[in-house]
Amino acid sequence: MSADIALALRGVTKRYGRTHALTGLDLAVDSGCIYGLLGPNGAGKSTALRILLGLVRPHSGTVEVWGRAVGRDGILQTGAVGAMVEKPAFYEYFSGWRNLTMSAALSGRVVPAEIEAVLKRVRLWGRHKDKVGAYSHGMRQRLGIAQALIPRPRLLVLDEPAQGLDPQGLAEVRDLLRELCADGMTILLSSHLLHEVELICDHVGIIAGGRLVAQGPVAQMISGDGGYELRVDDQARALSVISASELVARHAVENGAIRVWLREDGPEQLNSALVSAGVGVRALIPRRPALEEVYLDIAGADTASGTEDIGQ
Amino acid sequence: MRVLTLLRAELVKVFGQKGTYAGYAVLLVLVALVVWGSWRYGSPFDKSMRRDRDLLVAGKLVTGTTIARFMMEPSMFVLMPLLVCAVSGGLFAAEMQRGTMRAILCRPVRRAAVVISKYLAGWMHAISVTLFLGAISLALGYAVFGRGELVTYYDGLTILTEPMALTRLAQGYAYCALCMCAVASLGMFLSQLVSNPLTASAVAVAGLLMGGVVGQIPYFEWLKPYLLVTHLDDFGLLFHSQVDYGPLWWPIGCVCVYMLAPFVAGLIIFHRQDITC
Repeated sequence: MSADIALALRGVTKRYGRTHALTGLDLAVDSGCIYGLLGPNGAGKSTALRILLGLVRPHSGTVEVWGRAVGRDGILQTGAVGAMVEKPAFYEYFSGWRNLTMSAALSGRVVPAEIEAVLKRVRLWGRHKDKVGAYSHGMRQRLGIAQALIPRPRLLVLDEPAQGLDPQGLAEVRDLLRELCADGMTILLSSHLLHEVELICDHVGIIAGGRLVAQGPVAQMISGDGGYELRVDDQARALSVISASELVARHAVENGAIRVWLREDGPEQLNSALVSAGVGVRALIPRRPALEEVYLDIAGADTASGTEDIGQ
Repeated sequence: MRVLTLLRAELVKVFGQKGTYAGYAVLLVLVALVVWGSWRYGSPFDKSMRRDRDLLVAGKLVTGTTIARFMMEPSMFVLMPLLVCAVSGGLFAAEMQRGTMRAILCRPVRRAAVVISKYLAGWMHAISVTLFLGAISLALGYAVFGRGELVTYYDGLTILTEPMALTRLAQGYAYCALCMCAVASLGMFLSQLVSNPLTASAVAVAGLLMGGVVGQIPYFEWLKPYLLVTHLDDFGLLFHSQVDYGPLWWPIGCVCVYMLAPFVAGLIIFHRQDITC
């Protein structure tokens, strides 16, 4: 157990009737990192976040925050956690400002300057006096993030923070989370927007069937062999060369280009073989697998082989 | 400390909604109608005084206190419980439905504090509605009919001097407020069990009415002393010429049990409840 681990779920199980939502989930989030929790619908992401926040009682297992096991209300009683679980919820008949002051009061203090700063940070200053009922989906999402940031937490838990945001909003949330992380905040988020997760997160964990099936730094998760993208002037001839070549382990045609995986790293040899066969090679680009591909491989397989630790 | 913060937030929520004031508006309209009727047709107690009796009453029959006393009678059974449950039934269920309960519990607050603050807010609303009825009846009654004795007829003609009538009215409305707190408790408890505020309110009122029906069935008569609805009109005991407080302790105890039992059960349930909404 390390104090560098901000948050850990150990052997957490949860059943709803006969349905096993979590089956011995082990999860560790390093201090000062942005951890993305991924998984298909019903995999247990929200249940894990709810257990972490004390909204749901686990059947077994423990939650540890900065190396200390906490009880049901424990993590929130530390006052060091800000959270937005599922879609943000507000009192529609109150303004954004009032919603935030009421919420801040429950954390023990209301500092108007702090609320103002957070509202400016999420681009809601100027609309803060409007009733929340008049807010768009994206504005509510941003208000939800603002709510989680007051008062400034050490650990931020966000469930689908980028849901419903426009491209500009997505970029702003991305920048905001990176800034917060740079300031020392630990962030745990769940999302279905894999591209965003890839851009934002340092670490990811993939939950499937109620348990963690893979986790590791994003950089290492996507550093696997993505093969090479090959663009040529004569695809048919190139394919016949590739099929006959012992250099190529496998190949596929994707979006008008050929993707090849080599047995050993030697793209120059493949290039020579193609040129020798009279194929004009326009491009031979090393491909890195997108997080989405890694995710689909792992979550789709959902093997019973236990947790796959990548790069750890 | 945190309970007080939560209570303040609850009161802001309850009294920050326009819908809450609809109940007060309904009561205002009802009192205005009774005042107009009394001004037009005489004492609302007149019929019961003259029914099958050769009774001649001279002098001022309708005063401010008469209106305040009369208003307790028709309001306590359905109207007031309905208005109280309309708010109390939403205190938990509406938060669950909106998802704001999740947001509250994501703050460093204890679940017990949330329950205590909500029940306190519900009771305060119930008390405020009851006292509003008393205050507005007395105020409109005084404004139209002026001051004077309280003349009623239940087990006989009763005439209470104005100071005595005001004391009895204060006691009577305090008893009614206690009853409405019990009704609010019922509404809030049901609000914890369902996720629809309307359902909670409707079931709470239906429960009261069902109690009334059960009490009328001969083979359930033994249940009658234990039913909340039986005690909703026991304020009448306070308007006899001589008040015997002895028989009032049982109704007061019963109402207190109805007020506190759902609260205790609510504390236990909420502590164990998974917030999955």
